[in-house]
Amino acid sequence: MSNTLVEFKHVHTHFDTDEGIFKAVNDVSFRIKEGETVGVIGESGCGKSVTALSLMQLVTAPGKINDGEIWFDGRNLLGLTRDQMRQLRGHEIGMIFQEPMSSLNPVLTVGEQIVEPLQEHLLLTKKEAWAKAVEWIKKVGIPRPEKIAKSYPHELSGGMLQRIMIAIALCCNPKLLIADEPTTALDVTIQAQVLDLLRQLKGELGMAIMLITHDLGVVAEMADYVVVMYAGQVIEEAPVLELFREPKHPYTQGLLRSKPVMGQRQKRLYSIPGQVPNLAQLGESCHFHERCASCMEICRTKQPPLRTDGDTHKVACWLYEEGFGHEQA
Amino acid sequence: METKIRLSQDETMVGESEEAGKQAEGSEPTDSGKQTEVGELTEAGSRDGVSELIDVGSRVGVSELTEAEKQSGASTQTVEGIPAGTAKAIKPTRPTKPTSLWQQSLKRLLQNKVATFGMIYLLFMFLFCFIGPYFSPYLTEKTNVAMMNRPPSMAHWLGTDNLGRDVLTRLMLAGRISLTVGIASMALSVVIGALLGAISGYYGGLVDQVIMRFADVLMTIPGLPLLIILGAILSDLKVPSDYRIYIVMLMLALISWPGLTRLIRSQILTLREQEFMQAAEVLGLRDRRKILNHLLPNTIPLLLVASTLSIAGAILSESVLSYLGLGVVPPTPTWGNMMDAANSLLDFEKRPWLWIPPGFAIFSTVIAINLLGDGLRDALDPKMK
Repeated sequence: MSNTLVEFKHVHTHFDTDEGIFKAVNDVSFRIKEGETVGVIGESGCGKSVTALSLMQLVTAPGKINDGEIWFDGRNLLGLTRDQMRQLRGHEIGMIFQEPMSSLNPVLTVGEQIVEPLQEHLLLTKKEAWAKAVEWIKKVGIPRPEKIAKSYPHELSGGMLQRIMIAIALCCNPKLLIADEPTTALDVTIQAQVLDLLRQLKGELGMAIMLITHDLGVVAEMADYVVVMYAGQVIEEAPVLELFREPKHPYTQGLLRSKPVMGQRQKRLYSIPGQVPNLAQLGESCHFHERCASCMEICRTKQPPLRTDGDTHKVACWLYEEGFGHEQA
Repeated sequence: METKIRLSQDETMVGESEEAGKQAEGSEPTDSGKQTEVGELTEAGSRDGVSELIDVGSRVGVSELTEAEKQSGASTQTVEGIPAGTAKAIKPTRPTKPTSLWQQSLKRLLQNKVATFGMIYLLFMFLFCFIGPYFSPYLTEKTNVAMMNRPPSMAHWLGTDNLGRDVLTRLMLAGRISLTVGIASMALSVVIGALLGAISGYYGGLVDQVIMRFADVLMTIPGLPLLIILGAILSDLKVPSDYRIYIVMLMLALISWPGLTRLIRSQILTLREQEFMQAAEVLGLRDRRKILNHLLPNTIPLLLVASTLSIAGAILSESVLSYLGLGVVPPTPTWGNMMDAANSLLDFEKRPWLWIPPGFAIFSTVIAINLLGDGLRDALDPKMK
């Protein structure tokens, strides 16, 4: 389609704690193209957010990026200095969080908070920045922008605050927007509005979006391409339609089955048995084998590699490996 | 306040017309509950500064009132009169600007009678010290041997001292020095304390260790002996008395910052882990901006309370030093060195007008500051409701 904007190459982010080394991100490789929306999905604790933080290089101690390369727009981010990285954040990479209520500083007006990155990165004067901030508040669909700019976060609703967060993240025209569960804390009608807004702004500005979520509905609606993560690894990636039509990895299949379908009433919603394994005690086996219905002998002893299966579909599962696999059960 | 009064007036208007309607019907006036509801709703709206809330509030209020009217079967005249009345009652409370946190805090502070008293007393003290001397006919530093040690009289309201100077005038002039020293040394120690606390809390590690260990060392040395030593050195160096005031300020600031630094540092440590700081990190802001614009404003309530209370401490320390003759030295008057009169047994027994006024001034000012400080703490504590 177009050029690669972000490329993760064998990224390992490990947390060295007293209880052992938590491999939160373990050999993750995938790419985000310019202007593309990539959905990263997976259960809680599977390394989605740490992947994003690794990209931002905001992994806090005891976490550390031990190995790998993260390329952004032709630069290896892991080779940049602290200050170069700082200038990249908020300017070329914007990020929005799950909790808009707590992600804004309670003692500053929202206008002041939009002004800051503008002054910092675009070197605008205070007056210009304020005018631009008001313009942005209007752009994210909040009426009476002059007045809203002067109000404090506690005076606004969650949906409005998330719009403000979007304005802050996008005001410097970043090439990439990382949205870490942007709609999880909002109620459903507001979710739809925020997603609409994101899509509309993407149409205007053309940035790529890395959408981290565990809401499959959000992925189906927003993403062009989906990366499924499990226990710190990418286990499947495919264009969104293909993934939803033909999920290959048993985990992805389970995820899609555990989604309630409108109009269908089941006695009990399917859930994948078992839990995400302890990230400190991962062995050589496939990390999913304990929960997998089609577990084979090799799954207990060896990890499957991520292989291309079909044109654009990648999956890490022995079922699809030549010599081991049989057609799906 | 004004809008509130107008609101209640309008409410009574509503009430009156309502009652008139009911009296015409001969029924009992029972709608007082509904009226207060209107008031509460609009007030809540204005407090939040969200106009939608008010709209809802007013709509509910009006509809309820009119409904109540219909129930009591009032004449059409009063039914017409009431929505007009309520509309009037609500209009003044529609906020032109959202109520800021400061306005809310000020309101809460003013509700605290003791703190308000402290504040008014301090205001009075400032006026007394800074404006008062201009009304005194004895503003010269001149001594008057003919008027030595006179008890209070109409000419000298608080008598004269052993050099024939008017005690009241000196008390006011001394207040200038004492209050200035208190405020200036507070300001200095707040600046040092807040900056060092923020830096050591934000960066942690070696920077934190160096700053905090230095603060610890300063804290292990008892303040008064340290001040006495410094004062003695000053006396030895024969620093001119005009300069001594500034050096005393500096000394007081120097010994009072460690406590504040600890306070701010602990606050910054918790703030640093808040999500909005991660968000600030993501925006790629400079450390300077993060510390000054994001972290320190969050500690302002704490700073305000701590600095208010530290003024009191500084005034006391200055008085002690000056009383001991190590702070500001005569002829520049301060409350502390005026108290020095109590050192002589003769003055202590026979001339209480020499030491009671400055003593009372120190005592009352410090108490007033502490009362205000406590009130501020209550008013600014977000967990207080």
